[in-house]
Amino acid sequence: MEDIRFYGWDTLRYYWFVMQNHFVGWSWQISVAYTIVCCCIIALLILGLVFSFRVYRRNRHLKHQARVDEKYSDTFRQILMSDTMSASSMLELLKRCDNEDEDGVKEEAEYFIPILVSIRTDLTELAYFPNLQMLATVSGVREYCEKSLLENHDVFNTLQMMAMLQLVVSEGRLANYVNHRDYDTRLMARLCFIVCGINDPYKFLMDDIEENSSSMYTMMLHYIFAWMKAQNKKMPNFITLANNLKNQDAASFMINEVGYFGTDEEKSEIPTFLTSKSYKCRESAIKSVHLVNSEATYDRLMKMYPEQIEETKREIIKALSVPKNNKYNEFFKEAYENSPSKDTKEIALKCLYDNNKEGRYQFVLLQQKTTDPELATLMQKIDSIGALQMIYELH
Amino acid sequence: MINAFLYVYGNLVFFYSMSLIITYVILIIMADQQAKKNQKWGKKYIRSMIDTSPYTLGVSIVAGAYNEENTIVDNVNSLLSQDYPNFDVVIVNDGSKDKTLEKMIEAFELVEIPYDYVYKVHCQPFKRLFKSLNPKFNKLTVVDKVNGGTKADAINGGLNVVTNPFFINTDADCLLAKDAIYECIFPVLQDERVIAVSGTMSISNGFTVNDKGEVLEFRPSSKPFPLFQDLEYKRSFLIGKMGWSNLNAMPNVSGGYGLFNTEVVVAAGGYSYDSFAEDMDMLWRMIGYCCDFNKEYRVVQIPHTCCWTEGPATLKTLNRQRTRWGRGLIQLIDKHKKMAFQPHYRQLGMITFPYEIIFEFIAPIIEALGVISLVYLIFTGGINWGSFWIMLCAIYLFSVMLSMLIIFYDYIQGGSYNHVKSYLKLLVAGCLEPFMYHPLITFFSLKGYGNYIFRTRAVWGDMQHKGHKK
Repeated sequence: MEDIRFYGWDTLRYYWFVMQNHFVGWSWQISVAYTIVCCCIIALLILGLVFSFRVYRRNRHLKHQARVDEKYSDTFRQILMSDTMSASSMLELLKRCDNEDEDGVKEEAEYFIPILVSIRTDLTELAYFPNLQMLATVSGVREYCEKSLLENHDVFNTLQMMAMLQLVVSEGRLANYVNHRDYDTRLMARLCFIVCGINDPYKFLMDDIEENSSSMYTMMLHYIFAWMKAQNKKMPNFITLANNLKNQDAASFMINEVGYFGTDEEKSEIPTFLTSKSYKCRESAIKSVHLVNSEATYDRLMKMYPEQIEETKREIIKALSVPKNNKYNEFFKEAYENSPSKDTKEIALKCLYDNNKEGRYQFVLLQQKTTDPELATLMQKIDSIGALQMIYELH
Repeated sequence: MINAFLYVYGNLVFFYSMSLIITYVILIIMADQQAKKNQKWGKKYIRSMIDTSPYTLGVSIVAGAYNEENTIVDNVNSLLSQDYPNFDVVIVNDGSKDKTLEKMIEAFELVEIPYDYVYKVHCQPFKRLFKSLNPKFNKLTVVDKVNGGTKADAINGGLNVVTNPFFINTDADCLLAKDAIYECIFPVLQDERVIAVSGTMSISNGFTVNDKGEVLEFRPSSKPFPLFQDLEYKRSFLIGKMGWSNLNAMPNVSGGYGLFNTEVVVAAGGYSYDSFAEDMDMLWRMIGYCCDFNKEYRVVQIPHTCCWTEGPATLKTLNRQRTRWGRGLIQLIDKHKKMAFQPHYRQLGMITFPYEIIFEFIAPIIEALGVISLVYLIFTGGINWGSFWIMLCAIYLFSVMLSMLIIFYDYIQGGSYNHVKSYLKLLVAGCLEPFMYHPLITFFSLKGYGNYIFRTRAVWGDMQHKGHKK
């Protein structure tokens, strides 16, 4: 047979031809199996290459991040923990970290973000860092975020980071995203809008919470409200919102927030929700009374107790245990004696036990009096757990 | 006649294999979409929300322990070392015959306290209830109960003590990731319809742990069975369940690690003590309850590895485990047959159930018949070797490609292991698995079916755990 030599593209075309015609004449099942073999080989090659590239890229990124962390992490922490610091002192501190490159501070902005996020995660007990906004400007993080928003690059992550750090950027940068078609992006942008908005930061709040009262969203809002309160920024009017919201979960969240961040005026309006038709709102109002520790409302709670469902009754009992006042011992005792629910009985007994010395004495009397073996065991359990609690406190 | 049968059977198997390959490809696409949804949210952001919020949901970790004296202290320490701000741990000592309870009493300074709990779901009676004197372990409750013979009974015992709205069902031989609760509570916080969340599980046989139950070194096992199982778990969680999760058609939330809505579990009657696939049975009954009462539900799989379990390292224990699983599957299909092809049971009736029958239940039978046909054809000289090799290559390469994809996928998700070498080990396991491991699994499943059909006496059995390297 005569030799045929192929050059360049013809070599590839030859092999393609051989591959295409390898099983010509065989049944179609064999052709399908052959196609699968070819596809799998190609997929394995691609996967191998992509995997190697990802390993290389990840290692390079981690190394770089570790280097930046080592250089800047302590300085960032020091700046954030200090009460006040001028921009020039901050810049001076950052320049000192960066020994090699004069412009390094600006260039590393992308790698600074994980450091800031990490410090924020470690120090969640602080509602806000006084120097954060300034540090973000000096280190180039703010510029980096604004650029990302402007160029539509990694927007969702940037917005999340801004909401987490409560980083203020110009309101205009969010304009494209507060009405974004993607729900999560829109929601996150609107949260950032609360932080950054100047004229009307709560413009979207009512619509958003009406639509989404999931635990995650309420947690996000609570996080932002805590920051607003710590910064003495204008808070939304929770009572007005609670009165106007149709979504009962959202309304009850707003009533709860009064307990945490409401003004004195708003707190005084909590009792109006104790007679709300929605039991969720009633429960939230009781929880808020519990938070505010409003003595004036306690009598009202006792009066409304008999008309409530068991879950609400338990909330009332818990609320009345906050002031640790002798006058509620009798109420706990009655709640225990009259309730048909064992859970309510247990809460009432616990509150009586923990209330004060007098309460504990009443508890012991009840324990001696009881003839029901199940209730006796319940009391023993409360007593034992109470004793354990005291041991924990002694440690 | 036989030739005609073999011809029909051959074509049937071909179509079956092709449908399986197509299903896998669809699942890969679905899994990728689901993972992207999950990856979108920053873990640290979610963590900050949960840590600072007064609305954080309480979670109980319930773990059954039966003859676990070698590993119990490490594992309870691992459960207690969770970072989550609002959780407690309930360990149910299910009448262990060894020193499981004594070891816990000593290590965690436990004292007996009177118990008064309503039996919300059926279980064998409680003997004693323990709490710790040491405030370091104040989140721990230990229930000592009469042995119920099944894990379901032990978990029901724990369920009767749980007071939180959500609980995690795990085993006392499992090591949990420190952020396991954060990871699996997130879907619940996002969507209140979520009734169960399944976390990805992996095998811990090669790990080194310290006294606190913290993993010091993540390495795959050097023994073949745990290594194969590691790959099998990854495939099942990262492709199978992630894909099904996207369709809200999850067939199972593993008994090794899953978060459940306590109210729905209790409403559905708790774990079924006579089931050999109690985890799958529980989920199907939870979904059944939601469908019957016209409630919205979602069951979610997350890609994050939340839990590591010690896999069977010997053929004997693997045999026992997989035979039980095989028996559990056929029992489950028999028990819930009324759900099959019923639109009333939504995705479970129309997608999950048919899939379980066609691709999970029938697969070992088809494979066994295939081997018998192959032997027959070899002896009668009726085999076409060209076709045989190309078919074998197609299936084998697809399986290797799937393993490679899983390894790659696991790496992208954050990686179960610290070294690339560990992944290479898994890849080698992926190449050997179709010949060394899969035939055994097929055999054990068939044995399980046989046990169910011939009503062989069922033995739950205990798996002897060796513990981890220190």
